[in-house]
Amino acid sequence: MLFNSLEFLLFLPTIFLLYWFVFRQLKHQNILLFVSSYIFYGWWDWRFLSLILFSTLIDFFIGYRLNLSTHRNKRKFLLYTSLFVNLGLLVFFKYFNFFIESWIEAWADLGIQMHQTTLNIILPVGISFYTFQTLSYTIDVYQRKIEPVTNFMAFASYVAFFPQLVAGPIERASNLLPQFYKKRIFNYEFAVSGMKLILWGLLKKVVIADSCAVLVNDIFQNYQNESGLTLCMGIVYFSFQIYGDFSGYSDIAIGTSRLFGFNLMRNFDYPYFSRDIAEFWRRWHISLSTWFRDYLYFPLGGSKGSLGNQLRNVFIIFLVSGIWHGANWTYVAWGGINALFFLPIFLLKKNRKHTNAIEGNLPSLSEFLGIMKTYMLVTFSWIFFRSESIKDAVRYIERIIDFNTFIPNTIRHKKIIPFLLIFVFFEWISRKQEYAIVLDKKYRIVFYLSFAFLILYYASVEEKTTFIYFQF
Amino acid sequence: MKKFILKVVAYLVVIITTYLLLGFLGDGYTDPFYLRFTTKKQNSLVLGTSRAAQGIQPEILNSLLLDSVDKPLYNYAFTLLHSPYGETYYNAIDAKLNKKISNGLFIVSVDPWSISSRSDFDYEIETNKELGKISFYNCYPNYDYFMYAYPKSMFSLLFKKKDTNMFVHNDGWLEINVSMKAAEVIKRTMFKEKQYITNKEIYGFSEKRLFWLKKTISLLKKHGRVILVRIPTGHKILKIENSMFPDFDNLIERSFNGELYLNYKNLVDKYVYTDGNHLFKESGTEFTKQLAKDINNHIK
Repeated sequence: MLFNSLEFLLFLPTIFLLYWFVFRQLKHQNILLFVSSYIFYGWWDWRFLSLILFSTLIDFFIGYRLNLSTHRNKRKFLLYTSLFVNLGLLVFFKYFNFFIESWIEAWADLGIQMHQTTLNIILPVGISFYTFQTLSYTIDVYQRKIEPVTNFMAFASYVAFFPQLVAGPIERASNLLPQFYKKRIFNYEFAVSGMKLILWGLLKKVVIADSCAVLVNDIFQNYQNESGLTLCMGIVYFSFQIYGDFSGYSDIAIGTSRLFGFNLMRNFDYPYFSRDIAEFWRRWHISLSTWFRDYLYFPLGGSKGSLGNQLRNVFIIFLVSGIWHGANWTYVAWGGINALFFLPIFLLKKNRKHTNAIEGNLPSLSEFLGIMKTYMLVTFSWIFFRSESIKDAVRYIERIIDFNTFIPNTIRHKKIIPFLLIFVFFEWISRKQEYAIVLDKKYRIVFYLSFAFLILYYASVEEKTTFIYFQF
Repeated sequence: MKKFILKVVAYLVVIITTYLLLGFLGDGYTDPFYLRFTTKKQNSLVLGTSRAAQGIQPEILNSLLLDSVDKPLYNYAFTLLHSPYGETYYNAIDAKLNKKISNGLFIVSVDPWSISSRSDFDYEIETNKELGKISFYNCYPNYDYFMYAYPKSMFSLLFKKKDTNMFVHNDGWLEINVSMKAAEVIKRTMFKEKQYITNKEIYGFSEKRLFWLKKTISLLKKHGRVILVRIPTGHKILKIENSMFPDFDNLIERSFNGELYLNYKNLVDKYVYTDGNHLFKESGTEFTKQLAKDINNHIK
């Protein structure tokens, strides 16, 4: 079920009313959340519910056994079992064909032809998200950071919690799980903030991301015939598309959770106003960045040890983050490029220089230049993220820097620019706030209704698009 | 909680009311299809593809046909992509037909394309078009259509252009107003002919479509008289049709032995075409008069 669908428009209020008026006891509310989450996921493809249930059972059981055991090797064995099962499923469904094809291609490059055997595997929506979420539980229990759950329904609801099941934020057991034990009390302000987040998230998705998507698809499909300037516009639009799409989804997820009394972690913090690449990565897809930091970067040694080890750790985390996004070398390249961008400020130990939002109404010249530089670097790396292959990405770049064809005869795709500028303005004035539509009481009704009508204007049901991050 | 729900409901009321009101702005300018799904069930129908949609004018039929016919007739023909004979069109006709009558008149336009399928799709393409997407064919405003078939937002109804060259009349006739300057007609004709040369390569006779045409006619016969018609078209496209399907007329006559088949394909030069395929509206008027006269001769 998509957040921007009619089904969800009926599903959400139904569950909301049942949750607060019919199933008022904590135990019953958890059962309702569990059932509604499975309906939400099963709407896409019910067959894959078995995968979530399997992961849930495995990690519940392993968490329980981890608590009983004090024997170090046994505990390690249990942890590795969880890692093997969860990552095994992820690798099989997401990367099996990719590895096979890459293997065959590598031999073909050496002149050895191999018989190609790939399987027709469907990628279960959101598998990368819920796999990481269940893993965080097992690892935290193993490290004795949290107590294992004894209430299966609470755990199953945590794994499948529908607002963030398919595209995050990837929640930590230590933050979300305890909320399933605690009696939820309806809080007006909290629920209103949830509605505002949903509205803003839908606006980002439907008005910004989907409008850009049409242009981006057109430009990237025909990049060989487009001018350099159009190609530059293509990557700028893609930067807005992916931000609007993914942060829009996160906003809707967080907002929806608030309607049920849950507080999810923030996933985006105005990343395009970052002054350097390190700040960007602290503000972009925060739940994934911190997941990798805590469960991969720190265990590898983080920024401790020899310089060689530190550099290795930086590259590992960026490359793994790249491949997490999809089974394509383009994502690996994207991760590698970001690692290269990150490296200079890491070596100069300036990676924690900017930790707060910019003060003042306007940025200083150096802040402005920093923002522009970071945006350009990030946007450059999106070429690899968006292209079908590395070859396409390289040709796309070559075409941009071919100055003979840089200026087009006519500038197309420009109608959206005023919308993007207004959007940037809203984000800029709200950058110290949690979300971008904290408005003056006098005008807010007009704004909310305008936003709602704008969403409806752009929400052509026929061309309803899925969220980019569903595929990851 | 009460305050929250009241506020949300207040916002929703404003939004939903606006949306519902917008539905009343839908009319013959909305698109070439919408109005056809907003009328009540019909007693007599004109069926077929765009040649019939543009070329047969119910208003003229209604004024010239004998009173023994259960009038008025309603033009329920769409396009080759939307309404070739098949399950989708059959269901749409079934939903539009007033089952209480028994003396209706059904003008069923046929040509080689309407009983052919495309080889470049492994499914019937009309299932993904307007007729296949909706479930309600007879309600005004038709929100089902706006939600599932209309390609734009309902808010675009506020900005619809009345200077469009397409307009659907209340009797279902699709009026097309295009420049008939020789140079522009030639340009459109060349484009259309090129399109049909390509079509010839991808379309082929479909037993399945013939089956559904038979089924459609069986359905219509329960409620009145069926007349099969082949509407004239330009020389080049007729030539393409003849080479693609030389036995078409015989097949129709063989398959629908008991039905009247009015074949006007040889009257090419009698009429003017906007693009070498569709009758110009004034020719459509003349053709419809001829059709009414021939039908009257047969049903006297």
